[in-house]
Amino acid sequence: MTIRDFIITGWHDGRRMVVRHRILVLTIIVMFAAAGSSRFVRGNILGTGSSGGLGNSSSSEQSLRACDSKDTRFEDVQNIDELRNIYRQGMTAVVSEREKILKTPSLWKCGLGAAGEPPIAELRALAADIPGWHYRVDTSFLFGAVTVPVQRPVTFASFASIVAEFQRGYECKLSELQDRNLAEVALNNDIEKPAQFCCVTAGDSQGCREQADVGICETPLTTNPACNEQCPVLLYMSDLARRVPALHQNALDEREISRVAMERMLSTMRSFEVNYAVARQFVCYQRASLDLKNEMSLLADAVSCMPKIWDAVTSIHDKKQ
Amino acid sequence: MIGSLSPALAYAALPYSGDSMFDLFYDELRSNYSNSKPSQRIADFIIKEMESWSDRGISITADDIDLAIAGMLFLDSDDGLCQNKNDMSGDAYDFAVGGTLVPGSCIGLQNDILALLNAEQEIEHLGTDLITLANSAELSIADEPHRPLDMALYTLLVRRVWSGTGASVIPWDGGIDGVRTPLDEKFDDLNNDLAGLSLQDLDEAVLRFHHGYFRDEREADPRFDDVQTLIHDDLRDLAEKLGITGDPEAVGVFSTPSLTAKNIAFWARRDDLGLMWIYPSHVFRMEIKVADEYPEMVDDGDNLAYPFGYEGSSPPSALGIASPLCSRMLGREGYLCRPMPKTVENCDNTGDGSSITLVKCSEEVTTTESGPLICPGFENLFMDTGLPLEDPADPGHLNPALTKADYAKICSPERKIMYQDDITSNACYIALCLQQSMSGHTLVPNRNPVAINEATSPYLACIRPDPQLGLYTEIAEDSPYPLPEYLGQFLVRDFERQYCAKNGDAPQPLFGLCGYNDNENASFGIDNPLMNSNVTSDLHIRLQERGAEFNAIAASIGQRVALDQSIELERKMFARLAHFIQHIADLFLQLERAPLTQSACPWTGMFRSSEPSS
Repeated sequence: MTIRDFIITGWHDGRRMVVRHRILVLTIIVMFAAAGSSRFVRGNILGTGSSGGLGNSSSSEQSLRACDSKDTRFEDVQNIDELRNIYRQGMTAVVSEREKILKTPSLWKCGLGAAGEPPIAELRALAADIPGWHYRVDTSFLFGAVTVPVQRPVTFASFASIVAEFQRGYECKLSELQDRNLAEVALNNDIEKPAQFCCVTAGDSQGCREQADVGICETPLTTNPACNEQCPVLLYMSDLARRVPALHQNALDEREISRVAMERMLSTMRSFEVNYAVARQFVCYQRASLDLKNEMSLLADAVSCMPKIWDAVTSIHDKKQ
Repeated sequence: MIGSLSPALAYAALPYSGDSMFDLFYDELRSNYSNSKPSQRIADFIIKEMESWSDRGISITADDIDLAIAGMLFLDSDDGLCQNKNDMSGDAYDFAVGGTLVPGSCIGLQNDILALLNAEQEIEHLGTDLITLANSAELSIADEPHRPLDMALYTLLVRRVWSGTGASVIPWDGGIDGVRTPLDEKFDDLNNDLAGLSLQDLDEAVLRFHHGYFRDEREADPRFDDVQTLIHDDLRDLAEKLGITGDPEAVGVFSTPSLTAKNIAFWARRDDLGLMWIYPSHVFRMEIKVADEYPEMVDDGDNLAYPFGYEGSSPPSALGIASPLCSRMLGREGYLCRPMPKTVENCDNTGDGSSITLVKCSEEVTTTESGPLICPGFENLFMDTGLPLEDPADPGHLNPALTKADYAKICSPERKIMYQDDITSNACYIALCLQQSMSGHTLVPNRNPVAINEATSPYLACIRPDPQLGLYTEIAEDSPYPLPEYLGQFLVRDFERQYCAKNGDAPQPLFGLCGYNDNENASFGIDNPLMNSNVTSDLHIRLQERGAEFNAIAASIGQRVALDQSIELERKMFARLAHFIQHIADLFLQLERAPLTQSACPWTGMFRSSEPSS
């Protein structure tokens, strides 16, 4: 081998190395992509993050989430009527939205995948407030890793699950309220709103009671059921005997009624949902057909002039004799 | 709490009232919930049953039922449940002394009232569950207006675009900007009368007129004679204004305004008109009678949907539309509503109808000797003589007074042609025009009349070659109107959702969530994934194990489902498409029979090589 041969060979080898290096880089990228995508696919199918590799999240952490109202819309509210309103407003919003979509084919889109999704802003808003609709993934950041919450996909088809998860949050809150019924009565939180409270003196004690329950108020009326710190809630034994079981029963009824109403709504909605895919195809087919019909109409208009056009120029075609 | 507004500010604490489907169920549940005031119907039932209580019967009122619930048996004011009661003959009732087991005791009365109340409420609850189950499968295919997702309407609209035929929607002849037409005024009467009814009265009205005012007239069920006669008269007046006479064969649906009363709708078709629940939310029970009088079951009913005979005054002649189901727009075309075939055209019909027999059929094929055959059997192009296309006496149908166009001169100058604006008619017109043009002219190859712009070309093909030959030839583009994509994966998902629903599980948001086998069915119910986290995580593990298997079968299932659905639902539509394509194909195939010129330049002889002409 001459020096020149060596140089040429070496140059060739060097280029091969670069090429090999590129293949290696590409392979690594592909492997990362595959790892990432398989995680999402499995996440989609199973409703959890995967349990291995990069960005893992414990599936048990998701599934075994405690039955509590933490991070839900209900977290900071203790009055049962207020809770019911929050719940019903949430339900009404997403159910009305869905009814409207199903009633209005002009909202249906004919694309595939995300491009075929109708507008579901209310459903997304509800899912955003549901801790169960998020999972956490680790992602590298500078020299370490951080955990970021990722919202699970919200599609038109996610409705039943999101609504059921919202229901779960509500029922958990109601059972928390049942556990704490004594404490809530002691804070006048069981009294139906709107109500006003004030400070009264009764015998040798002074305290905060509902205005409708007392004669003369000693302080200005307030909507704060606990009045203020100088005037703590005044309760009699008869209040406890009456109001604690009532609150308990109220929460129990509400748990059952809301659950049954939700199930009836889901069942009734089901008929429309199972036919939505086919109905959408019909509507999309009809849209394409209308376009075709209009084009055919235009073509028919143009064609009606054809004999005239062909009669006009004798140089390019003949009149048959 | 995620979000910036404090909940107390964001959600005002007023009694909530929404108008979604959910609110309908919630409000109804709350008002009928046990331990609250019983419904009027249940109260009436209990009062009636108590008339034969113990040996002498006891006369009670709805207030007494409330006292029984509250446990107020004896009050200082002497109006407790067991005070001042009379038996059915009007004598004062003396309660026996003793507990629940002693006949005629006070506690026994309270006990019996509460037992009846609970039993009735339980039955109502079960009835509602039953109707909810039926709703979950049938509402969107019930072929009734005022609901989401009207499958029947979508099917008919597609058919109409392609063929111009099929049932039509007739607009409501109402006023705008607050102006009320006479028809509107009749509707207002109905609306106001309904708005004044109690829930129980509404139940009665819907029960009587759900399947139509004229059906009610024909069937003449004696139990309905005195039920909601005011609504009966309102519907009669509306029928008169709408020109509905009760002809069961008339087809077409009116678009009707919404009623003020919640969850109730007024419907009108050209054969009948009536009321309906938008979302049936409970079962209404009338006094139960043995069903031996009406309607009468007959052994040889002519269709599957309604094997009943008519006892009413004027049974419809076509028994296929005898049942309420079969009188609906699309329903009447379903297989349940078709009469069972007795004889089939072009077949030897040797069977006697009582057994399965193989019959021999022949099909006639029509052939023509010469000339193109365009739009065979299609007679929807007419002379425009000033007559309307639509029959004024029968909206949605062609005017029988129209004159058929001369198909040989369809595009001749001054010829006015009229036809429905649908795809098939347009295609037929185009095809006939092409045929006429082709039969009157011959083409010179490689020339584009539009590019020449009606001028004589200096480069006549027969004289000298055209230097720009081919320059104006346009490349054919793909059709700009593609048929919609095949949505196979949506059908797979759709199938799986039906699969879930069938097995009592809620529709799942993501593909693959609904696994199924017999032993696990019970634990897959809706409560478990919600409330029992152990089951949920267990579910995930089992699904993980089963995922691959399920994915593999899903593809083939999906294909099968897609095929089945296409065949069932789109058969008519694609039949039209096939006809259309057949017509176009026919046109081009038949063109070769047209007497086209054989030589390039028939007036100068054969084509010659380039030579300057003078």
